Amino acid sequence: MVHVVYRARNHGIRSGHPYSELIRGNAPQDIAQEVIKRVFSGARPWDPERGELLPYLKLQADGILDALFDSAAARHESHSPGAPNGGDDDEHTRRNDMIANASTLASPPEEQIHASRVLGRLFEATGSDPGAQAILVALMDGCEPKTRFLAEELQVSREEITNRHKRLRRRALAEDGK
Amino acid sequence: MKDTPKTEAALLGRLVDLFDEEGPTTTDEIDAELRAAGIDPVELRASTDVVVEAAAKASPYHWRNRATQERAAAEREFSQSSVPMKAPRNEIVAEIRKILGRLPALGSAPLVQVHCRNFEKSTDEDLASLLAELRFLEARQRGPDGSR
Repeated sequence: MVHVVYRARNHGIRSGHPYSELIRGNAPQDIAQEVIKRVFSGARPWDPERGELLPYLKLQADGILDALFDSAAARHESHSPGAPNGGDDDEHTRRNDMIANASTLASPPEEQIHASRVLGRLFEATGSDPGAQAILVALMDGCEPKTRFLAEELQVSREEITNRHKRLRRRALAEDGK
Repeated sequence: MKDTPKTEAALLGRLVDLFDEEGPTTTDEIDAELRAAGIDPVELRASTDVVVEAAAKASPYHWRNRATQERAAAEREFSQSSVPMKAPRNEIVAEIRKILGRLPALGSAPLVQVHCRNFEKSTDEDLASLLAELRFLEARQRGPDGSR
């Protein structure tokens, strides 16, 4: 259940749409209950030899959520591009390159504007939290978005990366008003 | 060579992928996440317990349902496959002893104990049925490929 809420709120950060809109009238409880019913009834049979039940339930929930997110994305495709805020340091220079690339790539303009706004605020907000900002920079440099790779890249423990990404998420949600 | 994100949307996507990798783990974190979505964790736990219990009771994975299904399947299989042996009484008894010699564990079944205590008191039909059951059980223990 909390997995459904957590992922829907994460997707809200990505897309800029409120999570309640993303899951389109389905309460998180409804989605979680649907997963439980599907798995327990044998409609989506769980094989204990292939893994534990909880990750399997999460996987099933992900399938439903991804379909809902795709459907929400399809509903929101139409929109006008705008110029995001820039900056004068290295990160902002690189981000400006990304913005230039955006015009030639497939992401919808609204998504680019939203991403630019959220990242701009995140970079600003993490000015006083270099550890959290280091994650953003490492991802920008092409590090895989996995705790273990970031821990290697930044030479810190996985727990430290987890704590930093939790701080980043809190800020992202706060910045985005979710 | 590292695969750098080409757009800010791609960078934000990677950041969210990182968030997705590990969700809340402690009770406090879970409750905070639910409350942020306007869900009362206490009420949720109560309602979820009801749903899980109902789904589990009706589930084919539930041991009670599975036992019933397995028994029904075994009975069906037995009735389709077993034909009582038409043979002299001494051959039936000898065959029963052979199977029990190969699989002594079958000797603890109540039906076997009743008849094997004293073969002389069992009718020919009872012994033929017992043999059919023992053959069926032995075949099941061997498995479909004949191995044990």
